[in-house]
Amino acid sequence: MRLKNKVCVITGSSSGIGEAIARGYAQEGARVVVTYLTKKEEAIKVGKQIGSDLILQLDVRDRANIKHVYQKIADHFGHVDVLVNNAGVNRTADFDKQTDEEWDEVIDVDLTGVFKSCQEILPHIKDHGRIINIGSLSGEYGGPRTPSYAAAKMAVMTLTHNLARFLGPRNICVNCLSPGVIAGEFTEKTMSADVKKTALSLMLLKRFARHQEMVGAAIYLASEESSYTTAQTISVNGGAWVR
Amino acid sequence: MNLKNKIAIVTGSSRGFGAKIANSLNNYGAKTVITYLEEDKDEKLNAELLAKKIGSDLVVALDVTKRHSVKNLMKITNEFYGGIDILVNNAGINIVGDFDKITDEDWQAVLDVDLKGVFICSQEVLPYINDNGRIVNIGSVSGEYGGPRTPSYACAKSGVMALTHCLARFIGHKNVTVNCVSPGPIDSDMLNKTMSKELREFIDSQVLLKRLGTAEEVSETVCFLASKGAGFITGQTIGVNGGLWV
Repeated sequence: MRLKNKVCVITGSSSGIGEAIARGYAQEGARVVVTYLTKKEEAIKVGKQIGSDLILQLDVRDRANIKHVYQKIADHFGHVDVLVNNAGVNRTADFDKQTDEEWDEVIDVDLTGVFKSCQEILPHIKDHGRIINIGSLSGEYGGPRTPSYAAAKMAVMTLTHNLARFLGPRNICVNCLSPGVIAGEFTEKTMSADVKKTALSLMLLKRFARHQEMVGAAIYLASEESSYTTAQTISVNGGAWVR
Repeated sequence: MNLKNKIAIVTGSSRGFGAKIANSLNNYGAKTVITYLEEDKDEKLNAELLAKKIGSDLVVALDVTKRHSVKNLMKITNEFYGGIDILVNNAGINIVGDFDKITDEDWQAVLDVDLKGVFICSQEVLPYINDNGRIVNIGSVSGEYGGPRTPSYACAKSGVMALTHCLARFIGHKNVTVNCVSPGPIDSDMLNKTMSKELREFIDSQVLLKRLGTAEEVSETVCFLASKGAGFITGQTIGVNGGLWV
């Protein structure tokens, strides 16, 4: 039980990586808060299966909503130990085709949403707590088809540095977990067959990841084991080549 | 270096780094379009005086956050010269604040100018940029270092590095190179006025060259990336930071 009784908030945990992390944390004894934007039924299912006390709707674009939700969590548990900023969207398009609306949506959720979520957790997170931001290989590699997503995810790594510096005096570690390509709904929606082929050719492990393969690093970053690890990006990408 | 008759645009070039970059490009023979922030009369005057001084023929009002304004700049430049060879995405702002103090408005303003502005300008230049053209984005050591005090600025500038990779990949087949120049602490009126004892000590301990850089050292690096000799350099971020450890 590496996270016994730790209060862990995972944004966007009704499916995908967020769900896998929620399940993994619960198995390690954490008290997990599941949040969702639209997938209410899925969130309830996940939350029930892992014995979660709180299953809450959260829109990371909406500061008032974040404030309200985090206050509710603090009222229930008294504090927060771990925040995983996982909620994210992607709108795939070539550089010349991406619209301003797509750009804004991706930046608002994937970058500004992380910023707001981090700011709003500050009054509630305990000293020696953990903040884990979910980055992406796309941010390290720069694309190829998603200027907004790549820019947002690279900026999240920078936000990680910035916040780690700010919270260092409180012994709160802030890190980034940067997944590679994961076989799943998100990838199916956003990657063409050609792009998948190119991606595979760049990987030392000749396959895409499973959501479950992100969980080990996420547990490590939330646990006592990582107490001297801060401002780092841990890439879990099968050895994908990054410049 | 020879940039003779190359058509260049430097965004935000009525003063500061942008003015210096425009000046250097012209010195190497380029024809540089000067842009100033729309609806700012003082900047318009600065821009016109600068253009006269450094021999630029075209001065255009620009707001990089407004797509129609950027479209207009590219169209006017193309009509005037017939094509564009060099785009320097220099326009930028900074609103300093600690992590817990930054407001949503300040955060958004910095991201809109420093990151989305680069995206919009880069998209809108695509119909006009000549093969073998050059796009140079101005980053910042803040984006590499993550701070220290401005999450919005640091995030925007590292986002610019990701855009640099992304666009370099997209446009490589036209032999257009896309790179980022990332200045460290540079001597400027603003920095001199505000340089604290702590900054002085930081420079002495962390900058290998033990001094501030000059605006010229930034602009010369931009000119190099714009030149023929840099033709096989793309997708790169070049730090001009005196060996500041990052």
